[in-house]
Amino acid sequence: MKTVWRSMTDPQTSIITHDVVTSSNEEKDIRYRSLFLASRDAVMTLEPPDWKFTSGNPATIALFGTKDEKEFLSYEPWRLSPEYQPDGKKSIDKAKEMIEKAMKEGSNFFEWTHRRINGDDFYADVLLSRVEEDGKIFLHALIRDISKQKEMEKELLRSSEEKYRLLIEHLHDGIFIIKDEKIQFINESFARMAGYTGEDILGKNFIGFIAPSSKKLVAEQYRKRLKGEHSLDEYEAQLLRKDGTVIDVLISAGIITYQGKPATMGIAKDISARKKAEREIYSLTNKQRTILQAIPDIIMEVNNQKKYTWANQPGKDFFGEDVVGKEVDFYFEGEQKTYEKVEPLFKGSDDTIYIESWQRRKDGKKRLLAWWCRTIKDEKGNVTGALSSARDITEQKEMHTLLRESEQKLKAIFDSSPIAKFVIDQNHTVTYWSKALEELTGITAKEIVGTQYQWKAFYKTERPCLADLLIERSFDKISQFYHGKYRKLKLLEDSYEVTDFFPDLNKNGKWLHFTGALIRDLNGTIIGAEETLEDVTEHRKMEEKIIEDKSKDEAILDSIGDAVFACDKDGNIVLFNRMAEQLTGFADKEAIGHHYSQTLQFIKESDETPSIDFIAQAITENRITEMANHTVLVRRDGVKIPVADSAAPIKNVKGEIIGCVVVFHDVTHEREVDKAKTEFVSLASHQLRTPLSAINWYSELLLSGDNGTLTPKQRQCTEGVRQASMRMINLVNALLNVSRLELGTFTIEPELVCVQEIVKTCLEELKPEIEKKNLIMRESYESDVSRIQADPKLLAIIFQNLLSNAVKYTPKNGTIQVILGKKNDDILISVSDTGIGIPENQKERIGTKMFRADNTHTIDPDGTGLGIYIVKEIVKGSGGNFWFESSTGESLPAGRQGTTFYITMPKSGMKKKGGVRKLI
Amino acid sequence: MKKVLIIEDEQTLSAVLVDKFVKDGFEVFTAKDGREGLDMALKIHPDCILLDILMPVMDGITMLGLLRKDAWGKHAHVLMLTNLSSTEKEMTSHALGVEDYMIKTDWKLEDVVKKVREKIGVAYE
Repeated sequence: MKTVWRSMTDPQTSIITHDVVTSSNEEKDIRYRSLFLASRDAVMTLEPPDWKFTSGNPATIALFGTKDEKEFLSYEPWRLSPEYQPDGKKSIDKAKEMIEKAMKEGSNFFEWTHRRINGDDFYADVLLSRVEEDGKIFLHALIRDISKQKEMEKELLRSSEEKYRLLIEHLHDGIFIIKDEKIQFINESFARMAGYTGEDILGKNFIGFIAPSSKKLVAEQYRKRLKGEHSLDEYEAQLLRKDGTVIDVLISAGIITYQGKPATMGIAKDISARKKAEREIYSLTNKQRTILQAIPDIIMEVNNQKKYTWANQPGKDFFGEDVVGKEVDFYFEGEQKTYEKVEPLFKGSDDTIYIESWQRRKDGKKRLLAWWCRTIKDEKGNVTGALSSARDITEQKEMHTLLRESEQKLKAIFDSSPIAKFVIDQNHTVTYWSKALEELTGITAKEIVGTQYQWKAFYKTERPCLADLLIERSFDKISQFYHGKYRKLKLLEDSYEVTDFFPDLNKNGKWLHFTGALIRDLNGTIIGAEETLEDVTEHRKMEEKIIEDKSKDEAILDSIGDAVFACDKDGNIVLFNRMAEQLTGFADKEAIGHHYSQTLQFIKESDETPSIDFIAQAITENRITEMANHTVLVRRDGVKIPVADSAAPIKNVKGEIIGCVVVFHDVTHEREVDKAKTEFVSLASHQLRTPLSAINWYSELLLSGDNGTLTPKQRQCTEGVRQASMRMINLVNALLNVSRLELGTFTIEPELVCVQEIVKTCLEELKPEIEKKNLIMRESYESDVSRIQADPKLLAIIFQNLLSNAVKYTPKNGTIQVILGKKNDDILISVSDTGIGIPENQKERIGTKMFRADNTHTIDPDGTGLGIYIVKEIVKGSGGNFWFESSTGESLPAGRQGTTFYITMPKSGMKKKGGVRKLI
Repeated sequence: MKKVLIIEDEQTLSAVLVDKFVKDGFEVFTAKDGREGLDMALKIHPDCILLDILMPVMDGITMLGLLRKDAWGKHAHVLMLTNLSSTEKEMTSHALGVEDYMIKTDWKLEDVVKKVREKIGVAYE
């Protein structure tokens, strides 16, 4: 049955339709037809094969804007559409696709863009349904114009877009959109983060703004996401800012459609602060790790589960590289007891626990480790684990054992020794107290070893002992406590020697001499100190007595104005008084103990040869010897001091010579005075001679008669004058000689002389006098010494003086005897007379300057008193000896009256001597 | 006549020496110091010079040294006639060619004359 459908636009228009076959069908048809005609939606049909529209309701006509249904029926769906659909597909192709799908599946609902007759495009929802009727299959289409809807949607989108835009703009995080690898959009925050403005960035390739470190990662993620492959939801990367710095960001991105095309939109969160903190912590941790690594000790960290969480390299070296993660028990096999000690740590104890345990090293060997363990707590105070450091003390322990063994041995040795000794360790605890010390102090080892009561043995109140001060290295305190009583020993480092009085030992106290020294181990580490003591009370008493005596002697010696020194038989000085120090320039400490030649330099003034024979002579010849005249002492600084005096032997109780004492004094002043005197005398002599020459010569002229003959009386007078002047001249000569003798500057020029001849010459001069007094001359010359080495002039002076004295003081008919002989090894000369003799009480002064014995004045009022002095000085100065024997006849039997002068000189004769002047 | 030069600062002594030598037949010249003596010696070339030591202006030893530098002076006969006992001066004069060092007070006048005659090789007239 054909059905007539009415068009929407004209309900009156009828459409030829097929008749309805049945009545129910007719009903249906009518219903459909009214629906068809009245529906506001565009309803139409299309039939294969070309799918042209076969019907269309008035709504359809109105929708497409065709003139009428007829026009409408000339179209296919795609012709009432633009050439391309929004997704880019050709309308004809897509339409056929849709149609096919509807035919296959029975219906198809999809969006479509149609085009009206006037060319306007509009969005539509299309519902295609397959209809079967009378064996015919065709499609029923319902098209709904959704343009308005779309408009609203757009509007909504726009307004929500607006909202989003605002949101995006004010978002703290950076937002970016990348399409085709180019940045399409960035928000304010992103621009700020990146340090760029919009212009700089937009349109540019995003890779350029990624820091090199992150380029690979970011590019990879971008590609993966676009492809639809698995990509990271969020990841960390670094952006490259405009100023070249980098900024850490957390990127999370997703695919969106941007302007119709797929694009990546992402959020970049600034995580630079967090990253910085992270890095700091990392470096801190790293530092700590490095430190921990550098410590040679083993350092291990365990957690609450008692598993090792960290070990430094030494730890790994010991336990093996795989120690981290292992359980602690594993390494404590067989050491349960020790392991238990560590338990308190995990309970929160804050103590450092020390344990020693044997553990197996990774090479299998068992080693003794010393552990120091501490808890690790978090900020809240909860125990998170423990940290321990360990040291391998296997060798140390072995050494200790050995030491202990040897200590025992040493102790045994010490105990048998008589030396009082005690030892303290670094903590001032007594570790050893010898038997001898027990006896000395009355304190037993049992009482004191292990304590710090060493002071009790010596002092009433507590104070450090020398050993204590040494341990403390308080060297300045040593000088405080033992001021003036201590000495640092040179042989041993850091060792001192003290002698001190301990009033609290014994009843009256004791003098102890003790040495303190540090004890070191092989490495040089101080492990203790020891003191070795000696009771020197008795010794000390004796010393004090000696010192007392010594002080007395010293006081005496020091108060003497002379320099005194004494030496032993070998010439080593044992005594040196203050004056000696002054004159020599050496301190007694420097002189005592050394040979006198080291500090005393006596030389001859004339030739600066040493002049020390007198010392040795005193010792060997057992007599007092005098320093040679004009001995000079060379002081330490080189200054020469003229000295004089003597040396005498020192004998012990047995009478044996054990040394020599020498006394001398500075004669500079005396010499100067003398020198002044003699110089004066020299000059005076010269001055005196001048007028004397005049007197002499004028007298001579007168007496010669050249100026007229003298009457006998005149002759007599003149003669008197002449004689007087002659005497004056002699005196002046004598004075001059004396001055030379004093100065020791006369020369001695020995030559082989015949003594007899010199005597003869002298006697010649005295002939008148001898004949007048009728004196008997006797001479005797031993043949082998008749010729001797002597200065003829000096020898002449000697004989002149002695003989003239003899002649002068021997009364008429007396005898004068000259003997030349030997005495032991010496040459002996004697001149004896039977004259008046020298009074006993004046014998000592004979030979002193200008001394004349009382009994001479009547015989010769004009004598100079210099004659014997001159002889004595000459003989002494030429190496000989001079003495006399005399008797005035008052005490001795008569007939023995007279004087004999003796001279000895060495066989070698007079010693040659250089000088300044010859004696007259 | 032989010439003798007496170099002596002491007037009295000089006078008595002059007296003696004149009496003895010498031509006598005198000088009162070493300077004068030197000049005179070089001028008159005496046969003998009696030379004192201690004199003002120039002492005898200095004069002697200068004298010996002269061609004639080198060989002049000089006798030291002094009151100064000095080994040193004696040695120096000896080194300067003077053989005789005479102490005035030890010598008689006539012995001095004898010595001079000896020196210049003139026998007693």
